[in-house]
Amino acid sequence: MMIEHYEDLLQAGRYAPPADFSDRVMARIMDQPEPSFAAPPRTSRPQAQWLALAAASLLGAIQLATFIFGVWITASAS
Amino acid sequence: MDIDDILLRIRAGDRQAFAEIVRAFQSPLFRFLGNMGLGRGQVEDIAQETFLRAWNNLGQYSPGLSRFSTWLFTIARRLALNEIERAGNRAETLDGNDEVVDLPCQRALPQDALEQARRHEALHRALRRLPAADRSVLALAYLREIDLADIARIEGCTVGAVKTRLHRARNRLSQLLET
Repeated sequence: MMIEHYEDLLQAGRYAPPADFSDRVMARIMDQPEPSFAAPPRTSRPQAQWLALAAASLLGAIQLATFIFGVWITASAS
Repeated sequence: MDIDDILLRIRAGDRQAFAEIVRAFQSPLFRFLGNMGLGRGQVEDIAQETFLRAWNNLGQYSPGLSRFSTWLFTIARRLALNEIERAGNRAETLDGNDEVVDLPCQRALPQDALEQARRHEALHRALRRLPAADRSVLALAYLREIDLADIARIEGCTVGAVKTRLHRARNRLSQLLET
């Protein structure tokens, strides 16, 4: 195929960036606003979940103790 | 180049870290845009615009989804296709401003350089006559920085479709080079 005679040119490309190209790009970048990144995942969230679980467990334990205490009071009164 | 490290530095406010990205990708970008059949001025403008868009949308880049090069060339390809569409048959795409410079071998003898320039010009004319979609897949295929899977992601098709399109584009380019 004819294209095979042009492989070297296709691989090398026709144009090379000018020597000051990156400086010019960076000069324009410096005029741009900061890119906005998505907020990183909040590390406190798993801690909050554990805290809520512990609080709910404590509440459940208190309710259970109150129920047992109530049963005991009723049983001892009769 | 550790892109994750560069992104962390940019997040921390080190804008200059982006220069490493520019220096690493400027040559492949010029090669890609040149193989899209664009003139020197267009190549420079689009390469600059690609880096600016990349900077402004850096927060949207997700390392888990694609490689940075894939993301960057997706931006460049879109800009190049827009430019080709905008330029259409405008006279500027056939202007004489694309002086043949930057030959691969700077020490070439004048005759060799002349022959090289002729080949560059013939190739460039043929590329310009290719449909934009063919130019795109062909230009991406000649980038060492990306593989067929990356091209498929950029082009939004399967690897099999890329191979088919590439084969067709090479055939068309060969025919255009013969005429």
